[in-house]
Amino acid sequence: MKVSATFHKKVPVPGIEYASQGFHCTLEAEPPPEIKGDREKLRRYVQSLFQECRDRVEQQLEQVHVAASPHRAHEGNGAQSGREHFARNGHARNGTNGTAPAPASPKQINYLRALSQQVGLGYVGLDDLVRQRFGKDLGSLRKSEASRLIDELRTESEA
Amino acid sequence: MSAVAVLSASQVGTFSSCSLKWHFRYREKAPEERRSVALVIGSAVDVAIKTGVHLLRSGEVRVEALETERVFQAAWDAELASNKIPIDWGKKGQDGQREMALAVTRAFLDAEDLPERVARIRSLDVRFELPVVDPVTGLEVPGLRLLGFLDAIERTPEGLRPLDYKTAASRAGYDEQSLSTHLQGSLYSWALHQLHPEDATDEMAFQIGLKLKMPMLEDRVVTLGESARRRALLTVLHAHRAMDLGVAFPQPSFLCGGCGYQRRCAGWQDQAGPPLALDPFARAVC
Repeated sequence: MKVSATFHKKVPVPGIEYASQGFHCTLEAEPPPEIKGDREKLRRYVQSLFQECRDRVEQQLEQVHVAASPHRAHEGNGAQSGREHFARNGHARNGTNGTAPAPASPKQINYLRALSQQVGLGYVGLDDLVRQRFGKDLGSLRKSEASRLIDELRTESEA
Repeated sequence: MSAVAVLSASQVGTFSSCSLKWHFRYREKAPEERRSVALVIGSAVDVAIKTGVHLLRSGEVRVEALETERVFQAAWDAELASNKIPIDWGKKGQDGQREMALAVTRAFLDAEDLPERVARIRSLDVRFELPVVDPVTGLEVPGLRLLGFLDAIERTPEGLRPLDYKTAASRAGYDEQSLSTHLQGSLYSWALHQLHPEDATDEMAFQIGLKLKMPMLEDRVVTLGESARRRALLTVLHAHRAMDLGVAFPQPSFLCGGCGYQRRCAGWQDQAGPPLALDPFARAVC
């Protein structure tokens, strides 16, 4: 049995009109024998692989935000092989164009609030989570932080 | 296997009104030449309404203390900041359009019965991605999913219903007959039945901010039963088939004035690709 988890995210290219860049991470792994027959363990294993992909992509995006110069990176260890791809295309861009991290948009904040209700976290729970994770309040989140949290809560709401 | 795996309700709506616009936007992913002010206003008002509703639901602000203009301004600024396409502000100009958008937001958030409206809301911004079921066979269509966002789900004494916030320049399209087969509404109603089979009713609510001389909020509640949902799903399936075949041609209508692909459309005949592939499953009709 082989498990393959992929996470892909597209963001604008700073300073270039109508361009976006995609960050893509795929991890392929052979699950340990003891979890192959256990559906629940397998589910958690797949989830952890997916989480790892997402974290690596987000980490890469953070670096791009800071350096404003996208670059390529490789991941991989042991039985797992990983690859990240960087690609440009001609899609419309819709984000920031400087090196300063952009604040989360009101649309993102609204969606986070909506998701907090859908996953049973509630408004107060969301505030606490943001403070715990990022050391700031909801209104001070950066775009990339809000985006990461949206992905997490959405995964939870769809689980 | 189909090249189109995930369709949104708005994609199907776009394809229904102009297959060529769908082709430019979703297949070629071409940047729009300009952005319609109606979209800018619609997006900013939508964000402002939802921000207001969240503030009230969270208890962060009481209804009498809700600062509508401040909420609106934040949404407006963010909308303009994120927009990189030239906006066609029309005769009113940017300031006039901002005034209109603010007035429409006020029609929503300063409504006398706002607390009751907010109390009916069970959840906001509900995303769905569901396998499409062929209403004729009752079977899932392999590899095709329908994606969308319900603005809100309302709870009424009868059960749950989707709510969609709209802004419109006139009441056209919001009469009883047009709404009885509303494509987006019927698909949202279908989605709600999939998400909450026990509680979903056949009702669909629209709250429409009308951009008239005197901007106002009007409500529409329409019943979209099995027949409307079946019609909408069949529209999705037929649109999907046409998309797969590469059907795309200009469909002139009153919507052309606000379209962001006018130049590209004008030169389509010189750029169009090869003739359509023959549909191997099509039956000859004499």
